[in-house]
Amino acid sequence: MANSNIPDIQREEWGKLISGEIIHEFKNYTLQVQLNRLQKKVKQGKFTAQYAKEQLFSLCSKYYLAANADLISIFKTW
Amino acid sequence: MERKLYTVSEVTKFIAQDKFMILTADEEILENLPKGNWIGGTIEYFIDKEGGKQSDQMVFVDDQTNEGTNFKIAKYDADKMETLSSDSFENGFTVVIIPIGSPAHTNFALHSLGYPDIFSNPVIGYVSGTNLDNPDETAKIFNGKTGEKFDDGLVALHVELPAEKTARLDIINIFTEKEDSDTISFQEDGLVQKECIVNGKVLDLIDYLKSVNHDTRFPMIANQLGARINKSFLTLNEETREVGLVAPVFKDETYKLAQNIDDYEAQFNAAIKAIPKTNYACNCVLNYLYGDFANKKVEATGATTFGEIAFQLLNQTMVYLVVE
Repeated sequence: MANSNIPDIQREEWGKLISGEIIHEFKNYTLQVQLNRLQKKVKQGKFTAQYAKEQLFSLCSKYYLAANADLISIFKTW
Repeated sequence: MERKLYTVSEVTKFIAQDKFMILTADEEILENLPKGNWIGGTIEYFIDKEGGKQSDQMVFVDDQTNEGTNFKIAKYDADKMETLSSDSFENGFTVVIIPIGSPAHTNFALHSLGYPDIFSNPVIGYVSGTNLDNPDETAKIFNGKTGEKFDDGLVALHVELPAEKTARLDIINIFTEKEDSDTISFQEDGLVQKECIVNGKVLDLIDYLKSVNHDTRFPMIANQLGARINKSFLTLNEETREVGLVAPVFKDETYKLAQNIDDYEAQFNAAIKAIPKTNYACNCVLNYLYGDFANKKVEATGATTFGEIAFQLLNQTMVYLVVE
């Protein structure tokens, strides 16, 4: 899952976004809606936190240009 | 091609030129167009270059020919829509149209975010409708490839983009929550509700809205991590106590009432100035009506629709797509 355009999936911030420990209102609509859905699914026990993290990482990888401003705000550097 | 209203004669030429288009017009106009590379939906309210316009003679054209490297047109039955995104290209976007009041409309409204791979590419589009003065009409969708029209299901134009381009979907919602609004929730998912829960108490929804003097031209809003998602009021039936909504509420979401808006035109024009040139956009017919767009110059051209689609069913919102 290496992709230098976005932070490594091992960074703890990804998991904290899923758990809600990091509260960030994405500027990007797609990321807002998908993260909101993933958080709900994990709370409902329908997705594991790991699966949700991979889904979020995958979406940010695909839309790294659109996600860039949000990722800088959350991760600062990578 | 410029996104605007065209005559039937002009559109017939575009079809002959094999352009890949989303066409929006009156039912009689669409059913008499030649077969070709287009999908269509019935609506006769638009925001054209000069501003709001109602027309049962002209066709709003969203042409995607120059953006795409490959295209697919498909019709999905209401119980097969979950395959929508699996059919899309590796890199691209999908424009969809669904008729209002159909089983497909309800199915998509309640379940679209659970469709496999729904976020793999932007899914944008609208809910088709009817002339507002003829409520007995039925909304239609068209598969231009086959010339067929339907009152249920979903038509899609899948567009493939070259590797160096990405489609970005976004929304403009001019509504914000009232600062003093209660937090409202519901016991069931759905487009029709009789009761709501406020401060732990189950209340009659109509009575509650009256008790707080809420103007039902303005929606309830869910905040999905910053994305403000409207749930507009369609009907309030005093006898059955049922409140009809344009987009469904969900029991695992909370809502706040929206603030009143005095100047739709100024609000929209300010928001639109902040976005880049769009490759596709549509706006809600409720904004057209309540904002009196028929008599105003609003910069966001497109069909004004009976529900907007941005992965999920939205309303009182403008949705747009930018290819970057």
